[in-house]
Amino acid sequence: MIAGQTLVTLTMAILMASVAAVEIRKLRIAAWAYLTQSLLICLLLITYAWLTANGSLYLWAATCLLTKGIIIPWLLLRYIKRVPQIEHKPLLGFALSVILLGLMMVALYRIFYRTIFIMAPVPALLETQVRSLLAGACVVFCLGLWTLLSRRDVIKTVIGLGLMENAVHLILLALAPQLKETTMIGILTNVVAAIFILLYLSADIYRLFGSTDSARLSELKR
Amino acid sequence: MAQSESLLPLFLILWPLFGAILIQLFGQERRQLTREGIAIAVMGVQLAAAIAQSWSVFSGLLLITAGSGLRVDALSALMGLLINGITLLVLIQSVRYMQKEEEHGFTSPRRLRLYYALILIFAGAMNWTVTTSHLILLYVAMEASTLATALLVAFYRKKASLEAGYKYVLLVMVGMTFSLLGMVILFAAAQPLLGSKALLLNHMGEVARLIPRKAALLGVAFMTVGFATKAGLVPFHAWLPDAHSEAPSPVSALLSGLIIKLGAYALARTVTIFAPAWHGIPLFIAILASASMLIGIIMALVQDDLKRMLAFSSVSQISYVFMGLGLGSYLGIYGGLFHLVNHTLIKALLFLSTGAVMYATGGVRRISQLGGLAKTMPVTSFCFFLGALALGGLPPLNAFLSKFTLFIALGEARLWWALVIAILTGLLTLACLVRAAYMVFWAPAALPEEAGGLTAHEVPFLMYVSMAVLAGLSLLIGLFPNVLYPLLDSATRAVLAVWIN
Repeated sequence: MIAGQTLVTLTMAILMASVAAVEIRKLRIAAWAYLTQSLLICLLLITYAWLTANGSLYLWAATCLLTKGIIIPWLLLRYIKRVPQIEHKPLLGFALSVILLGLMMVALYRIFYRTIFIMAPVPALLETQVRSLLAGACVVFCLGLWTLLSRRDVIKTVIGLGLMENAVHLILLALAPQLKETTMIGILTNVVAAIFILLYLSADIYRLFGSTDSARLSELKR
Repeated sequence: MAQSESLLPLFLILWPLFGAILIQLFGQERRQLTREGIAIAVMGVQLAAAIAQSWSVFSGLLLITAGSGLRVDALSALMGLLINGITLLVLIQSVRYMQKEEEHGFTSPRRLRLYYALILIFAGAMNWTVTTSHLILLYVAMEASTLATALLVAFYRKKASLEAGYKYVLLVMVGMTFSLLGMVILFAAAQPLLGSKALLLNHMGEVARLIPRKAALLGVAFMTVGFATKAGLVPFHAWLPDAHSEAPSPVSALLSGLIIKLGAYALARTVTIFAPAWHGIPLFIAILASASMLIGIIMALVQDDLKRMLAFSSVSQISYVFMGLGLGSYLGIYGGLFHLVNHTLIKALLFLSTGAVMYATGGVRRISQLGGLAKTMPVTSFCFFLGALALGGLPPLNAFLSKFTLFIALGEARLWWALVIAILTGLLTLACLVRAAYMVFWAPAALPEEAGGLTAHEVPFLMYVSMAVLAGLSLLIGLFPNVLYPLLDSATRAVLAVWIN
């Protein structure tokens, strides 16, 4: 019971960390928020492994720690040094943006919590903890997508992609914990490579365009 | 069907990676032989291996590599032939093209080493994509092919190419994440019934029949979004025209010829299997594809940039493939695969010809600035014109036959409105491409040569050999479609076998 509570608490903490990663305007601190979220996901993986007595999930946690807890944050912090420290000004002000995001997340969470059976007609979901984990993961996914759509800063967009991939990790945990470790490594390698390439291109974009504003990327709009 | 153990499929994945390492290790700045030479030699061996592989597959064997989950049926073998053949031709074309880019200072010998290594890595990733039998690894391999081409798209590191590369990775990554979600949903729904078999592509038929309705439709919708992003269908096409036009021309041929076909291949392996069981799926894909083909060709009509025009026409043509594969009937799949093969040949031909034009004119690619090249570049203009007519669906060239098959398949499925749109798109394609071919090769040049206009000469032999091979194949398939019939027939049966098993 207490372990189940831990699962729900961790899910909520992950949601908080995602909001921080999206909303904090200082890129370095947003990257730290991303790191916090990744570490929370590792903790959650360990708890889940212990709860379901599924030994291979400890390996998941280890690879997650290596890629999302160490390599990606390191890359992020390294490349953030080369661009302006404060994100390019988003459309909405800070307070309004946070309030809107909060309302959106609560609504989405409720919708997902209720309709989760469409997505996964699995008996294991009868337990409320797993159900809230899956609903929370879907909310983080939407949050990442929202970041991609609403932010103009190229680095912030990359953080949004990172959030989406973290959410996918949680969804995989809830729906397919039987997946082999090799498959997981394949997925994570892709994520790391994609984020590296995006950051590498972002640094070049800043060098040539003199800005990290993706709306300025309009050479090709004709 | 008899199964046979073979290491060939694994060889086809690892050999180009080995080649890439060789180039990185031994590629020297001054000696072309160590870059281009190694790349072409490696790819030559690769093509020979692919031919050997398809020889045994088309004589009725099913190749399996134990322990690595590779499984080669007729469709995989067909894709393998296309992938390795086109990559070899593109490498041959690259030699002179990239040499000239280097002379103009757009790139350096060090970066050329990276260029050839990346193309080989890309070939390995594509071979993995078409041979893996594991659903999630299909996603992983497709992503790997995206990432291998990302730096090729941004190769020139100019403003425009960086923008194209950034958009390409970001959008395709997001789209493919949706397809991963779709795959996981299918797995979660089928796992209690089938166990770990639910992840194997050759058990998709059982998955399709067993899982609950809502989960199936949600999973299929997500996967379609992902594969449509990879293939560049409207409204997921935003990356495609930028990436295809900003990449070096030989790479454009690879992108338009091969990488968008991987989306179609994945569709044939998954969504097509669901189509017979769920009647909403053919309709859903027909709506998506017909909107995409019409919008694609209308966008192509208004482009002045030759490469951008060809890119938008790819958006339109890949929609034909999707429409056929989405029907899930024998005729639909047959037509879809037939058009996939034809479009690969023709679009590679057109992009390579465009590359030849850019080579000869010093990088001009605006239709309005080009003109009158037929006199100075007879081979290139013949190849481009043949490609334009073929893509427009004029008999007796190859795409006429595949488009006609698709029209019959649409009639069979009673999707009359889609048939009308498909025919209309065909006519617009013909108009669009023939107009471009006329403007570039026959119409008088915008500026006469004396007034500082274009000075062009025919490209060297090493450049038009690839174009000539592709043009010859297009003509051959158009005149003697029976050459290709047994291959396409067994590939179609291989797709359907998953459903019947």
